[in-house]
Amino acid sequence: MRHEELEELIPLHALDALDGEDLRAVEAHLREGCPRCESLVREHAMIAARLGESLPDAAVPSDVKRRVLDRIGRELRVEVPAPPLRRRPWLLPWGVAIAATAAASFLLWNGLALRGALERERVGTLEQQRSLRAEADRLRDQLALREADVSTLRADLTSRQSEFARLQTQFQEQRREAAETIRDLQARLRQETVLVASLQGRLAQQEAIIRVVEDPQSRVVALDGLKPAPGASGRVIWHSGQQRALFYVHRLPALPSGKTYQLWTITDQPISGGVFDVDPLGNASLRLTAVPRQVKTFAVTIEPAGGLPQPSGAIYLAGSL
Amino acid sequence: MTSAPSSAELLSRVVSRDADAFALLYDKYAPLVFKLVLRMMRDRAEAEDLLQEIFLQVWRTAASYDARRGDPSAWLITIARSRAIDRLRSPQYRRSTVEMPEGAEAKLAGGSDPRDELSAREGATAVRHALASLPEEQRRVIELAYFDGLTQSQIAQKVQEPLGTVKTRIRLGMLKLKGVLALKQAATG
Repeated sequence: MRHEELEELIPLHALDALDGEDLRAVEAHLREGCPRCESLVREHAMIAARLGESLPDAAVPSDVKRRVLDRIGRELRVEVPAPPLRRRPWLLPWGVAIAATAAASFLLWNGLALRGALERERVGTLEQQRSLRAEADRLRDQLALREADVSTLRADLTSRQSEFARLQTQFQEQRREAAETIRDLQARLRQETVLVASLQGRLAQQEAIIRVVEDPQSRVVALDGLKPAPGASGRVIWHSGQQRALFYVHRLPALPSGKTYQLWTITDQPISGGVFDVDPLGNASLRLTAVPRQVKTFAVTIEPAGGLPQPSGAIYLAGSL
Repeated sequence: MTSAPSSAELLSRVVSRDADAFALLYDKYAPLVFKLVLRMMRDRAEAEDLLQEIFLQVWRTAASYDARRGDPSAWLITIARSRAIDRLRSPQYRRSTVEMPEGAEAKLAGGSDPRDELSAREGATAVRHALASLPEEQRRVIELAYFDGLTQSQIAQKVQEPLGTVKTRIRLGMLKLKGVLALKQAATG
């Protein structure tokens, strides 16, 4: 993190609002010792210290002071160093007495020895107490440090947990979005596949037509519109060698319901070349196979739906070789 | 007549285990510390408990006060806020959902030393004015951090703004407070 960014985090640090990586970065930086940031910390701590003044006053419960003072009073009594040991004023007089009375009693010596032992024990106990107190102080400091560590770690954990939850939500959203995109793309792929297949079909058709048209053995027969459809016109491109033909018609009237157009190839008698309907412009096309080599005439009649084996209706178009 | 000892003097006497100095220090700061932790905890019993805990810590750790890091009030408020925040952020602590009614603390006001009241009131007014001079969105994020003990991420979640926006608002708000309070101090001092 750049120093400028760290500096920008100091005001948040003063409010204890940092968490996560920001908190770690600022604390590490301050531990390294940076006079500029220390001065910023000081300034912001002073502002933060004053914010509480804005609150409405609240009566301080009077017994808290008493409790606190009682407590520190007890601590003080424990802390007060033990009074210095008496200087054993009895040693000299006793010593003199012992020297003066050669027949000093054994009991007296005994008592003296006992008092000395008690005194030594007392000193020992006091020293022990002092060292225990020092140990207790040290442990209390350590505990305070550990508590601070724990609270830092706890804050860190909380912030990591919330970051994790945020990332999890984000991940789930992205997964949902991705699944939707995949579904869209699959639907489009299906549509495109259908379109490609239909285009391939049409291409094959067009190629077949081109092959027939280009062949020198192909002949073109024009069909003229007769009385029921004077504006209509048609064409048959006929390949005698392959006995195939393509039939196109334009501007035929729309069919009444239950009717169909039927194409006939006529030698001595008519043979059905197939039935067809027209588009709204009156256009249609048909591919014919097994056209008799001796065909003389092509004609279109109107017939009942499905067509008939022999023509029965009016002739709409006709043309001969 | 001698003038009242400064906070720094009191604190150094506390370091040498002067219980009278400690009592004076308590009288001087308990009202501010108490109203702060009462606002943070929103619970009178918790606040009383904390008040005791905070002043015991002051007594025990007075020697760790470092004048280079701010004046005694800053040190004391830092202790108070960290103790309160420790509680607020501890997993065991359930944040009270009962909002304290506006001014509920004010009704409990009274009983403070009239000698300190005037200067304390002036200070309070200055800080209130400084806070009121902030744009609403800056004041809100600062209050959520300072009085509710929320971290920047928690604030972002609460105000439904990106983390970056929250950080910028806090920073700008603090800079403005610094400017306004410094101005006021210059004007009065």
